[in-house]
Amino acid sequence: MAYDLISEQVLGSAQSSVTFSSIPGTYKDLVLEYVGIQSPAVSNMSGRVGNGSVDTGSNYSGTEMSGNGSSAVSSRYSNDTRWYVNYNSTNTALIMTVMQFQNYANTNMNKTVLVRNTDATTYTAAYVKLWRSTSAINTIQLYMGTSFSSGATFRLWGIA
Amino acid sequence: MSWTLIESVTLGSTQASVTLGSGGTIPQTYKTLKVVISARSDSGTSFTGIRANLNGSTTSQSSRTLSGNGSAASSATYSTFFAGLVQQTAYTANTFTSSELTLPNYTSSTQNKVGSSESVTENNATEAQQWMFANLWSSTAAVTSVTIAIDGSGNFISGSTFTLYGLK
Repeated sequence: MAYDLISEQVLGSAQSSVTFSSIPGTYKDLVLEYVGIQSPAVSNMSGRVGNGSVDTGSNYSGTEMSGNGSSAVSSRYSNDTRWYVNYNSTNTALIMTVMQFQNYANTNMNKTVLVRNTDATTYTAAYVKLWRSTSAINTIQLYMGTSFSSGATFRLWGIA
Repeated sequence: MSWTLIESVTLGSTQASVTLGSGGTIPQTYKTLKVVISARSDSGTSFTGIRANLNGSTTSQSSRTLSGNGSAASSATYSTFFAGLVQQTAYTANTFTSSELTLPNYTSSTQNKVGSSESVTENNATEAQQWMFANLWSSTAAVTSVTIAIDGSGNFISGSTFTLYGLK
């Protein structure tokens, strides 16, 4: 089983979004691995996907569970214009996020994504996301209200 | 490219700890490391944690957890970098805990080290454990070894396995 690095972006300066485009449709699943610091101090990383341009319609939903060190909680949302991929409660914490896109190129099913978030200063979380489209995913966009810090790394792997 | 096996240890007798990359020998040529553990302890009556001491360091560690035991979910904080859990003598015999620790950017000399781990015990009784760990080692040193040790008393029993993979 191959686990290929498709693309890697390491930010040389702060920027508000990162996009992976022209993703080949030849793999079974995708894994997007992120490590970085985010701002502003209390914000979310958002995500959108698409075929060509990203979908900005109300086609995103998710179920989430997380622990903040004192309590475990679960929530969900529907019919949103983006995924909530992670959140940061400071602009200094180093966060790790792994997104697994199942059957991303399959044109017979909507797209599900598993997310794991790791922030030892704030929370750990597991999410499942849905994009209600049978289009193959060949574009992934992650964005912040303000920015990802310089040094943030984004790696897109393909599993064959 | 695939996950590359760097090192694998299978215990032939009880042992208190295992060091992957002993002597600081983990290659610095990968982007991400993964440690996979199948383990059981020779003491205690329930379960305990498995520490991952990067470069042998036992300081500057922290973690935040999310867990379920079959009847409730909870969350906690620790001053420990966890690879996972290990089940002890009272859990179902011949059953080992499975754990996986992922370490991205382990070669970085500018970032602290984050690690995501997940661990499950299984026990044919009213209690078993499923845990997620958000770990942080507040050090910008590149990771050259990982020492796996039981958090507390006890030893890993014969048959426990510890495997290190690299991805690039």
